[in-house]
Amino acid sequence: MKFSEKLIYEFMKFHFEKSNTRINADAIKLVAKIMELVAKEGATRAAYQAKQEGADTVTVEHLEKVLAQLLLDL
Amino acid sequence: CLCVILQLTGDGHGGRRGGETLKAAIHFTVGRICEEVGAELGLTYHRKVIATLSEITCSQLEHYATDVEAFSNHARRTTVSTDDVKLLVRRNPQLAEHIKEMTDSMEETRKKKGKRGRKPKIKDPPEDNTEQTVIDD
Repeated sequence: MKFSEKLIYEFMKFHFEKSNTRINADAIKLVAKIMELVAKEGATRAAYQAKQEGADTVTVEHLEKVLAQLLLDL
Repeated sequence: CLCVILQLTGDGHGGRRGGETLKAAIHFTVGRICEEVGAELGLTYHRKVIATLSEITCSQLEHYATDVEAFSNHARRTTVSTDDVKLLVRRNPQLAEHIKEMTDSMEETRKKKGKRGRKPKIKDPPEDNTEQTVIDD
């Protein structure tokens, strides 16, 4: 599952501070890939934490335990 | 269906309302990603986990957007380029390497395209591509 390039473009444009800032098509592809990896990494780390604790559902507690290292690694 | 949502968002001139729809679209994609990872590892995700992950994704993307704009501004450009994106991930070696590989392969594809054309093409303004609706699976 990938992030839609149009979504990334619209989202970034929304948050750009200058209204005349534009973004290269290739750059959008790269950012989309980065965000996909960010989401996957977070989901995977939380899942491994859950597995380690023998759970079959990933809960917020599992996510909290991996969050600090995830944000540091970004 | 994602593209329909985005078209309904309209332009941002009417205020910051469009932000909610964008967040919803991100949430949808993050949810799908969690489904995939969950299927691979044989677990399910609690709703709140997906919601938190999408908040994190939105917040990261917001930071990346302002950073990348600052980089291109610093280089006295108005258009964000792949070099700006490379700078974004410089601190994470694996990510930086992955992005570098993507950039290199994109450059190669561009060079091949350039050679195939019979007429010498005036360099296509890259910004045009961004206006096209990209239909993603």
